[in-house]
Amino acid sequence: MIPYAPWLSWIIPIMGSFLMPVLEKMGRKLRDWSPFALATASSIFIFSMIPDVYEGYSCDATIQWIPFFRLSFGVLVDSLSVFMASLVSFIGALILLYSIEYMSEEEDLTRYYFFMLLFIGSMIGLVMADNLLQLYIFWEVVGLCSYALIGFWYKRAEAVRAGMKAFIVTRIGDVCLLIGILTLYLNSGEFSFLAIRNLAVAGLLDASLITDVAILMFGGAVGKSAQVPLFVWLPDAMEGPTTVSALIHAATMVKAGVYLTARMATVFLLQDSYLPVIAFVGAVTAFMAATMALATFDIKRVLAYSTISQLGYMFMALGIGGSKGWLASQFHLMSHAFFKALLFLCAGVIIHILGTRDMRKMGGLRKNMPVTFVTFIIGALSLSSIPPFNGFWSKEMILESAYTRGGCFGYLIFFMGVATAAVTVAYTIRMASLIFLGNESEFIKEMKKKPCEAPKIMLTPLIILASACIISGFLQDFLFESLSQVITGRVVFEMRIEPLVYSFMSLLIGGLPAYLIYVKKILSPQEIMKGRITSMLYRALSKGYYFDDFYDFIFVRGTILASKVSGRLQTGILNINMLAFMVAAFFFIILALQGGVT
Amino acid sequence: MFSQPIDILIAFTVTTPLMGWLETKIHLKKICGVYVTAGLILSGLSLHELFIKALSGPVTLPVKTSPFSSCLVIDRLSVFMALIFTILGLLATVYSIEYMKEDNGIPFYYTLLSAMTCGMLGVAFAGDFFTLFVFWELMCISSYALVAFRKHEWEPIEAGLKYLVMSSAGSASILFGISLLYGLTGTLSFTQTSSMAVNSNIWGYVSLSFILLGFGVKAAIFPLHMWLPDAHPAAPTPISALLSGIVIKTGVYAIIRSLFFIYSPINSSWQDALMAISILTMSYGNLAALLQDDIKRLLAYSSIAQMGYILFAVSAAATQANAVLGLTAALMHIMNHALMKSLLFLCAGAFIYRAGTRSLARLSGIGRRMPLTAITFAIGALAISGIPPLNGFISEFMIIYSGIRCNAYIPTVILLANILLGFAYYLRLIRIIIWSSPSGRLSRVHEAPFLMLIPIVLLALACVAIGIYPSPFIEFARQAAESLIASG
Repeated sequence: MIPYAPWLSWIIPIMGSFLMPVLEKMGRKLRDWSPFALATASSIFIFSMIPDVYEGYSCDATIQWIPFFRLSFGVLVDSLSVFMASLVSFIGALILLYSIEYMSEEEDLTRYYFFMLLFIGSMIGLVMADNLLQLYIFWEVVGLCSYALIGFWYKRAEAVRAGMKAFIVTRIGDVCLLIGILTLYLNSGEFSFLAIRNLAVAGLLDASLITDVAILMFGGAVGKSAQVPLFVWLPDAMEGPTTVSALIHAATMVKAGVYLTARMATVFLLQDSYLPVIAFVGAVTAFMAATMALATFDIKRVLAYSTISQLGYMFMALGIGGSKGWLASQFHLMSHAFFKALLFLCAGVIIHILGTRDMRKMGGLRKNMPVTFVTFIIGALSLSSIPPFNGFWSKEMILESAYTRGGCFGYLIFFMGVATAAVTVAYTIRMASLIFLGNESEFIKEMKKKPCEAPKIMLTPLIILASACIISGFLQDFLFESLSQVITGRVVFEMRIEPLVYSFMSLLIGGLPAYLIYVKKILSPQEIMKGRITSMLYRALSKGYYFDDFYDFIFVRGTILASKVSGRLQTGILNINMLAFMVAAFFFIILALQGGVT
Repeated sequence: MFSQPIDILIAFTVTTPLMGWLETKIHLKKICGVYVTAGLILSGLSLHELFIKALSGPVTLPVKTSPFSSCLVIDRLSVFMALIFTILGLLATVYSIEYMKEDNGIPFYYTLLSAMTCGMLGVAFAGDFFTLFVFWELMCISSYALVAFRKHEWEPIEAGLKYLVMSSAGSASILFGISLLYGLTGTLSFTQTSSMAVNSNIWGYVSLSFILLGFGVKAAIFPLHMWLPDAHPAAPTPISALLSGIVIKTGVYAIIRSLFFIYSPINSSWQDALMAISILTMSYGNLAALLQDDIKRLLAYSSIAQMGYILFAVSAAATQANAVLGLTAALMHIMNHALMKSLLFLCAGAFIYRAGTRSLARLSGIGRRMPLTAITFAIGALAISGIPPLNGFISEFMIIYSGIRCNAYIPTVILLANILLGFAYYLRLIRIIIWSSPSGRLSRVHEAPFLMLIPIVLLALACVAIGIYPSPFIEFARQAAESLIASG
């Protein structure tokens, strides 16, 4: 380990972000390349910790911060935090490399790189934090950065609106998280993970308290990781630049919720009464989001729904409980980080070249963009869990751990997972064939410049990520060896035949109709939509099950109405002001009389 | 006579008109502003000595001439408040030098400003109700005149009148409450009344209710807030910053003094009532601010909401076990809100100074023309919405914790919903001011003048610094809270 690596890993990007305005003065090229260099430096520091934690090293270095709350500022180095930090910094660095070309035409790049670096730095800070309050602080900074980056194109009203929506919706979850943290602090007097863990192991924390606190904290994760019912911000967040979407989906932000839940599972080790809630929310989200992806034509929105659905898988796995589910969720987190970053960056190439996100305007791009095509297909195969790509191994593990858990609960989760897998294959085939297969669309034919392959600097991250998708599936032994240090006991996964059969069946059930409709074009989707039930279903799906309309009706309009009413109260007429004064006087005197009596 | 900081300010207040006369003779336009600035700096420096004295216990300064044996008792809470008052008064004065240079009657303006600061210091230092009331009126009367300072316009006159009537009613109510208390105990001294268990008597509660009613007008608690949304926006911007930042805090200070010193321990039904009032106050302020188009009015409504948060902490502190935490939270938020709201008002003032309008629709995108002001404005807005690592987060966090600690889960959730609502309109404000593209009307707008930027940047730095390293400030606030509870 390089000395001070746990601190420098996040201080470098955060400090670097504040250097951006200075670097801008020194030259554009320097400013564009230095974020990549800083993120790479940060990832070197983090990678240097991997050998140590693999051998079982862990430490908790702190400095005193707010003595009033007995609160320190510290870094917690163990296999979980280093694992997350390496993913964040590695993918962050690749995305920053990609940005150099992708964003080169934009104005205001100093702002872009400032927030990107701050985003990556605070996410690393979040996973390295050794106490809950420090985590919460980085958690909010991550939210702030996402707001600024989603709304990067400030001239587009939808982008700014989407940024605000993301920030506000995730903060609704944060309310739960903060109450959870404070309730835990009230009853334990500690913010630090290790201290709380020691209390929990010693049995000094009430079981019902742990259940309440864990569910409240999961509320925070629901907001940040876009689970039902707070997922509505993530599809809208696609208004930001594609690199931002890739960063949000693959490495930062949405993974924070999964990390928090996984971390708290290691803290509350012996207590798992709250886990079924997490499993159900995850399973429902996974299935609903996957179906929504079937009815969307915006390439980035499809990917967004797919992220929500994959995050659902991770929570499902965490909720199954036991070391097995926990490890499977982390494994899937890694797989998802690679293939989703890959898919988003491929989508970025396509959007960069074509200038549209509508999949109906694409088609037949496989000849023009061979590298993008091949890498995209690798990502898509991973997403739909086809062996030997990484998605297959991790998803299989989730299904297997649900199956071996057994019982009514285990089988329910298992079959929801299988059903989601079927839908996943269907929307992946639909997406891939709409973009790459078939004939060129009218839109492409009318383009002045024929679509061609992207510059090398953008293709390099694609190739690296595609190879990571192939390799990382085989890293499970290494990963489990080190990660199982933060939980109890070693776990042996064996490929059992039943879950394997079910998931191959799901591939067929989902894949075959999609293949017939979109690749062979035997059935036309328009024909299917004509039926009464299917058209209703289609409308519900494309509207995201009306969650947005519901919130808009109840909360947005309700608040605006209340605001108008309270505006009316302020008449500015002196007589009414004095009337209010008399009312208050009356109230206080009643209170005094009552207070005097009792 | 009244302790060094107040004496210095009185001397400067009395001599400022002379400077005004000098100004007409030698044509030095900025001399009055510089003179009062110097006075405030001197007064602030002399606070340091008092602070060291107050560390070892309350300093009592007898004022011999008064028939009520009135005195100043300066404990750490007084010093804490006085420090906030002087620093913000100083920053607003520096800001005024540039902002007010086109107005007529500048010597009067600075005289009133310094008299108002002087009154606030007196309120913080007062050791009995008589002294407090005298300084209170000094502060109030100067602030009425300051609200209506631009007397050639109709809006300030109307707002000033409303403020005057409401606030005078409040003062009358305070006076009535005080006289009841005097009738009960035969003394007005804080330390003597506090040892007499005045709250064992029903008249003790009646006097408390009149005192709270009067201070509540200044602290803008619902439904006594009605003058505020008119008065604060109508005043010249540096005065708005002072009114929203510190003048309303004197009301809270007096409420804290009464509740935790004189009338402590208060009845639990009062605690519930106070919490209910605080919830109403914050909800009203936030809801009314949500759709405002006038930037200063929006900030004024937000002040009402923030007073609700402070009052929430005060009511949470009313249980014995929670007293230190709740009061520390309240004091921290008093300080932080003073910094954040003054920052926001001063930034808004800079926008108004350059663009000549208060309407948000017309100010849209002005941040792109004034980048430094825009960044500091964003810092203020994010701080007040409780985004870490800025100072607002620290105190809002403490308030939430004190709410949870006295087991008031439902009020705390409402408080959090309110913080979220406040966050929504501050994001809207950031979107309009900073994210939008500027319209053609603003094409000639450029960065604010240097003298106005100094206080703005200092305040923004303070917001960041307290957020990152809050320990010394929390410690200071805790000592202030403990000094109140230990002797009360």
